[in-house]
Amino acid sequence: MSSLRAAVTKGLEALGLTVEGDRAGLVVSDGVDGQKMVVRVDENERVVRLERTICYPVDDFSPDLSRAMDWLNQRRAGVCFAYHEAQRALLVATTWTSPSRDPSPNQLHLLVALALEAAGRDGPQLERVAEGETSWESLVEGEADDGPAPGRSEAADPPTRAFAGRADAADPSTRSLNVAHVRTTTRFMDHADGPDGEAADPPPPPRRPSGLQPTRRFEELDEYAARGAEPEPEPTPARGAQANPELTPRGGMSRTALQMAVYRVDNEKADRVDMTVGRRSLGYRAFRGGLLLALLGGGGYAVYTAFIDPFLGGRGLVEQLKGLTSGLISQPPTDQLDPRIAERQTLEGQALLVAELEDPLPDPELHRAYISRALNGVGDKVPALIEVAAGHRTVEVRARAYGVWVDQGLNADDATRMRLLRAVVEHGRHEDALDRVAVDLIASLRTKEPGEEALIAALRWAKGSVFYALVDLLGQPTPGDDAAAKRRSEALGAYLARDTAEFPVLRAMLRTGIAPPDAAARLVQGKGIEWARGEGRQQLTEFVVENPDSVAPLLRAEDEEVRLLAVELLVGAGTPAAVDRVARLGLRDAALRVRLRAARGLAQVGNAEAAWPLALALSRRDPPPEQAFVDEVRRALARLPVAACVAKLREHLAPTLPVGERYYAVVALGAVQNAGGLPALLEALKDPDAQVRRKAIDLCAELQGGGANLSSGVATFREIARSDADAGVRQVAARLYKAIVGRDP
Amino acid sequence: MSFVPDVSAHAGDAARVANDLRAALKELKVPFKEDGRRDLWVEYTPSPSYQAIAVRFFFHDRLGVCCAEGLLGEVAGEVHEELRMAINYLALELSTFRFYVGDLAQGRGRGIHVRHDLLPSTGGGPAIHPRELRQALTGLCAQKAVFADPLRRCQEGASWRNVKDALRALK
Repeated sequence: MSSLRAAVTKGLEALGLTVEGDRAGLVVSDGVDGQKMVVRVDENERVVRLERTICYPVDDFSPDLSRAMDWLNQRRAGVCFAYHEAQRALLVATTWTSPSRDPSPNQLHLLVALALEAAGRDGPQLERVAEGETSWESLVEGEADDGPAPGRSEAADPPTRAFAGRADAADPSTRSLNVAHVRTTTRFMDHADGPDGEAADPPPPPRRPSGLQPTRRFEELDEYAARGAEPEPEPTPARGAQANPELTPRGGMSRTALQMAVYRVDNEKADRVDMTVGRRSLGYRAFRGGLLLALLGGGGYAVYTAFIDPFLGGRGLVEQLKGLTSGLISQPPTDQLDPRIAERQTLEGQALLVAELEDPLPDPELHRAYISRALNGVGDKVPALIEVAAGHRTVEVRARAYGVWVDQGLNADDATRMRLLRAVVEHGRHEDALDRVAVDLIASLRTKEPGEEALIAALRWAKGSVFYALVDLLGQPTPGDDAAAKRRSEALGAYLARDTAEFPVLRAMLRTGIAPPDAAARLVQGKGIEWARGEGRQQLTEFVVENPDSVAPLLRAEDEEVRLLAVELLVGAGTPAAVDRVARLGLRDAALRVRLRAARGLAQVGNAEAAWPLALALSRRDPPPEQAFVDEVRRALARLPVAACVAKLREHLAPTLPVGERYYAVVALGAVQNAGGLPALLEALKDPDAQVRRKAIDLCAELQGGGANLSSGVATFREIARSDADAGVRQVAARLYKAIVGRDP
Repeated sequence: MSFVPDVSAHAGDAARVANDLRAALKELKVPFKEDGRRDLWVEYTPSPSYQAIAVRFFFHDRLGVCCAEGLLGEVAGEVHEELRMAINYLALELSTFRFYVGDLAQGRGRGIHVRHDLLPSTGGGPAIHPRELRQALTGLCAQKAVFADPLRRCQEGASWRNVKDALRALK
């Protein structure tokens, strides 16, 4: 069970109420009058609403009842009265809400008690008003007479006890079921003086089920009979006449005379008439002409609709004519007309447009016709619609105006779109969370991007979310069009001062590929390392490809993590310039982590240009490198392309170069993959410096010990073993020769 | 133990709730004025894009149920059938706000009011929490923004379904 609902259930039960779960909420019963109350708990809005029926059935929401409920809603604290048509009931509701607190016991008590008090005090009076037995003014008078409300006095018996007598009812009703209390109201009495008046002056006979009054046939017959020229026969007693005195006219008229009068009425023939007079009359001719015109017009319209209109490109002409003529030609009877139509007829142009958008007619055809008429009357519809879509005070009207704007196809043109957007910004609608025009316009800009010039020009007047949306649109890569990228970047650069903590402008500039040199550093420092390693990594990497120096400030940062990130970005760029920065700065970093990452990164890039920096890093002694770093550098050298790597290192074996440089190159050659550096090492065995030669022959011995095939160097080893000036070099060379050939050199 | 309703014992004292109400208004930095009947008046808007609403806080019968009432517009002549229907529709649909046509101050005629009643808490802490007050004031302002115009049109004869549409758009 949800938390608020659980708290409410527990609290109500603690008050001594019976609480049952229901699909609609909770059903609460106080066990006194059996009347149920429904409690609805909205967990999201944190609202608890309690409803109770106070009067049932009520079939008519009369003005008097409405007035009474208005009065009570104003005068009663904490309760709301309403008429529920579907339930045919008057309801009273109490509500609690709080964004942060749970309802306290006294608030739960009030929820129930206020509803019960209202039911006990106001229910019976509302019932009388609903029945039409009294008017709403009696509530006011009753309030004045009664003084303080009983529920708020110190009455020992609370008002809801009055319902106790109905506790055993199967289906409790707010109306008394006691027959003794059935009220006889004046509504059922048709005479002002009551029963006596009705007896003295009986009401007219009841109408038939059809609603028609009884006919006057016999009265007319009486008249005929009275005027009849028949001599009065001898009066003979007739049973019918005695049985029904109505059939015996006053003055003693006989039944025969009556029958003759009936015969004359039934067989009375009108004077002869000329049947052609009607056809020759003006009215008949006009009717015939009208009928002919209608037939011809109808046929013509059908022909137009079926055959001509499709070739004219749809319904344009017909719809226009409909809109223009609906109010002029085919006006329905005025008593059936929507009063707004008459009002619309008096309006033109902008006034009509505003009226129709503020209060659109329910008939969509009429609505479109009036909109069409209004737009035809305004001359230029663009400013007219902009005035409403951006300037009207009501969100709904602005949304309707924007709908018309779209229907008119005005979003297809960049200039008109930007005009509307500017008006929206000038009226501050983009800051209104309920307004959809700015949002939809921006969405349409994203779907169909306007020209670059329009976007750049709009930056001048754009504000808030619109500004940043335009910045986002401008900050797009333009592959192959460096001039466009430069234009966009320059335009964005003018608004760097409006950048926020999220750097939307700077990031947009980055996406164009042209940004200030320190852009990467500013972004990393402003947005943080997590952003740079995640969402911003691609943008930054792409930027570093073009501007490798932009990370130089990061490589000098105090924070080790920032330097590590800089190395990662450069490695991600992978360009020769980036490799150069990693090799020069990353491999010399004070932190071992950064150096290891730089070595791994250089191996990952696989650019042979890194061979010599790696060689230097391998041999550097100030400070002495950690063994882990040496191993990593050796692995990096082993992963470089062999031929290119050896070629690069061989460049540093020239006898004219310093001894130290030749020595470092020899050391690095020993790390080249699969003894690929052997030819260069053999070359180094002829170096003028004994130290270099000793290192070279030692590395050859290491390679041989590691299982490498050194047979290609047999001749060199023999020569060195015989002729080298250094005894140590000769000794190792002789050992290698013997290991390969099997005899002494 | 059966339930015995007793509003006066559980609604708290109006004077104490009014004190808490003033404290909450001060905490929210909402300026208020007090009239001769000791009713509090505030002008409130949650953001510049909403038109401010004048809200009167008052207490019925010295009970602690705090009524916050705002005026949406004046009504000239008889209440139109459509307005009656619209107000009743809102009374059923909106849980925390009720609309009614009531008398204006000093007999200046009648107007459409919107009201939110705050049930005070006597179980510790302030009777009215500032957050509850801000929610009530923001709600009243939003009701005015959304329903004032449709209700005015209902009084002019437009269909009460305008109010229904406005509510649907809001949701």
